[in-house]
Amino acid sequence: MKAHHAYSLLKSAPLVASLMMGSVGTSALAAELGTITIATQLDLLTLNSSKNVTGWHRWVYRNIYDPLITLDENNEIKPALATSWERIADNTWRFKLREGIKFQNGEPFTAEAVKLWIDEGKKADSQARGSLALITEAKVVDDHTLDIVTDGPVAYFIDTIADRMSALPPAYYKQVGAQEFGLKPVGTGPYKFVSWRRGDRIVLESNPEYWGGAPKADGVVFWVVPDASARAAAVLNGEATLGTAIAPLEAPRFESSATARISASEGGNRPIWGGMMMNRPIFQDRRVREAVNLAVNRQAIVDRLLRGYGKPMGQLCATSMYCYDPAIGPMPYDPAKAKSLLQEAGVKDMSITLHAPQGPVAQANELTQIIAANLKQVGFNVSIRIDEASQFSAKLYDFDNKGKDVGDLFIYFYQGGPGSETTIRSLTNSKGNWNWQYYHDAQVDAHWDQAQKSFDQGPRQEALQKLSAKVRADVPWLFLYEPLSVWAVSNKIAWKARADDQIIIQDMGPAEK
Amino acid sequence: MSWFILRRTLSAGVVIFGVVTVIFVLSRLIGDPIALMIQPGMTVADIEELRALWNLDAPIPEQFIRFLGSALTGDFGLSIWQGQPALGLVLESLPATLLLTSAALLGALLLALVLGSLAAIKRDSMLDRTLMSLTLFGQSVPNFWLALMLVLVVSVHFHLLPPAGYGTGSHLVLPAIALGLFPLARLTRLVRAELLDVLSQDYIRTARSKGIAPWLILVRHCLRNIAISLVTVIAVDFGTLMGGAVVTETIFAWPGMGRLMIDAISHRDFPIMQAGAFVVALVVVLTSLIADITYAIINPRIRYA
Repeated sequence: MKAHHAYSLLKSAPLVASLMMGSVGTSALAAELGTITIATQLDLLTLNSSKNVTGWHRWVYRNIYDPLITLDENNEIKPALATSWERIADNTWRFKLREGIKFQNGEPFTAEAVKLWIDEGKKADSQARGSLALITEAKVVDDHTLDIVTDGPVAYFIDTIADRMSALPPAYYKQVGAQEFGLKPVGTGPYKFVSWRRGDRIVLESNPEYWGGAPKADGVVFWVVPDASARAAAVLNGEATLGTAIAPLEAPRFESSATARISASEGGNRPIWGGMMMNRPIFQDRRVREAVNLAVNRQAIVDRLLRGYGKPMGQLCATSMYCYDPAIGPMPYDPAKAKSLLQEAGVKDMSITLHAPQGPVAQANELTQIIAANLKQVGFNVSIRIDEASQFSAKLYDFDNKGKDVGDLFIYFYQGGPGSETTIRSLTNSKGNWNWQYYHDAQVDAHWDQAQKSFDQGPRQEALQKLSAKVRADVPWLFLYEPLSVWAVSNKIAWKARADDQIIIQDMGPAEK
Repeated sequence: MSWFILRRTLSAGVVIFGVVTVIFVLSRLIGDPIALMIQPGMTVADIEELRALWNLDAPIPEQFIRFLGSALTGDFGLSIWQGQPALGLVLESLPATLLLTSAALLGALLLALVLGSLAAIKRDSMLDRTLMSLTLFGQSVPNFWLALMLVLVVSVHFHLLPPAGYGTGSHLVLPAIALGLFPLARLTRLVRAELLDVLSQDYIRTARSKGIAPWLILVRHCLRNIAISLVTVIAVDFGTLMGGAVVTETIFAWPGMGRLMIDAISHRDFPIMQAGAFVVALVVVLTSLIADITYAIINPRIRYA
């Protein structure tokens, strides 16, 4: 089999390395950034990077550990602990690992360390397990070569591990055990773990031995401030450098502030969408599904509920995903056409239950009321049902009874971001384990298979575009919007919200004067 | 006295067992933690394995017996989401909640004694009326609104105190005020009402006629006599505040038990819910035990009842 490099990695590898090495000796910067305090909405569940790969965990992990492969601010795949990789068989990837790196406790970084991360991540107690389901085995070839075997050929495999997969120090891990390691982690990253007071803060300090050059900050503090307006206050007040998940409602407070500002992402990684129950008679007619879509005024919802910090959607994938097709615009708002479509379909006074969970969907009450009002305008009879999050998900997962307790149209979110095609696939593929709306389409399945098998960018992009177009035409979803990520940023630093919602200290700089 | 304590300890044990049982049963009714853990790509076998890992596959009575068996040895199991011992997590967050609750109550009590006495002594004066209207405000203002206003005015506008956080005395002030205002208002009214009652008693008139200094009458004769009702209310308030500190803890980023429990409930993290219920029940029962013993110290007649 011909050696094959995903994207243009080798070309960029030395560049990245030289950029990283270039920062050695610029310790004046460290003093300038001082200690960075990040006010976050949630505390971590564990500090063991193999047990959880959700975004807010990776904010912290990214400093203690290094990823095998990373993403730059434009979502381009870049090497990190792995310097290059190639596919040596249909279902086998070979990774060359960086040499001469040491863990913070002095242990050498080897292929064994990555294998340990994968093995730990695949255990039943790991919440990273679902995202590693594609991996069947990790094999150490030599100290700095690792083979990863996937369950069949998976073209988007690299995307799914970027910024997630890292390494654990085998000797230390064995000595303290998984439970203790989750409290006192050791990685190869730019910052060393100092302390964790649960529910309050995680304190990290700069690792002067870091292989990529001196870290930019003396220390990083992740401070849990669960209340959104308190987070905004903490940044306005100068107690925090960065505040996550700022409610759009708080944004005006920053307009007149000299100490802090708002930075918002261009797209959102937690899109809100509506699923129509395709196993029910009412949604059999495509025209009815399209009418539902045309009836809803997305821009008005975004303006009213999100103060403009949102982006109306018209396809499955959100802006930051590889399956996003910029050629497909947002769904238009056209109630007149919706009415005529319903008339054409011979539908009158159709009753729909609109169902949403409280919590996972922000402002579920207001949102469902607006959607219901929109749908009523074109002639649907709508009743609203709001459930608590776990009640709602229990109803979705009731596959034995074909989701009989789920409303006809349910509003939910999905975790997007680069590499989350797996999520969309689970939602829309006939055999997907998240296909709660019982959407079965042979063409859609075929496009997914094609995308999964196409290792070259071109054909893969083509398959994904066909898929996006097919689903847009089929309208099994009520396409809604991507809420943007809204951050509060102290004027002491230069920083911009990234497409992948990551916080990387190395991106920060002192404020431009 | 020792018989009294033994009897109270036994009934405390029954109460704690009852609370833990009720929480165990109720938690099983509110949902399935595993449903919240399912990720794309997981197979049915993976999900079954997860369920078995957390002992959620056994029938509920069996789960309960297993739970009781290990709980008796102090083992409440590992947190489903955090993988750490549940009781340890709860005990780790307990000091922060106890500190906040005690500070709020102690502050409220001291202030209430002063304000309530003033109001009672100057009955029907302008001061009394102002204080009573203020207590009405204190009892009716929503806790979360007050907390946000405090942050906005004291921290963001005047930069006097940190808006949120934990660790130093200055971090304690705002949350303690937000949490303590309600008991302060309640205790002030109580002190005033009880004092008015006592002040009209014959023995106070006698004391006055003997020429004892008014402040000495207040401290020695009046306050001592209202102590029992104060202790009762404070003991009850302590339990209420332990459970009610959730909102305050959330707004002020206070790493206490309330937040731990709310997170546990939304994640259906049964072991933490159980350990938390056990600890809260234990604290409340201990508080009321201490209150009972205090009664006996304040009023010797109770000891022989």
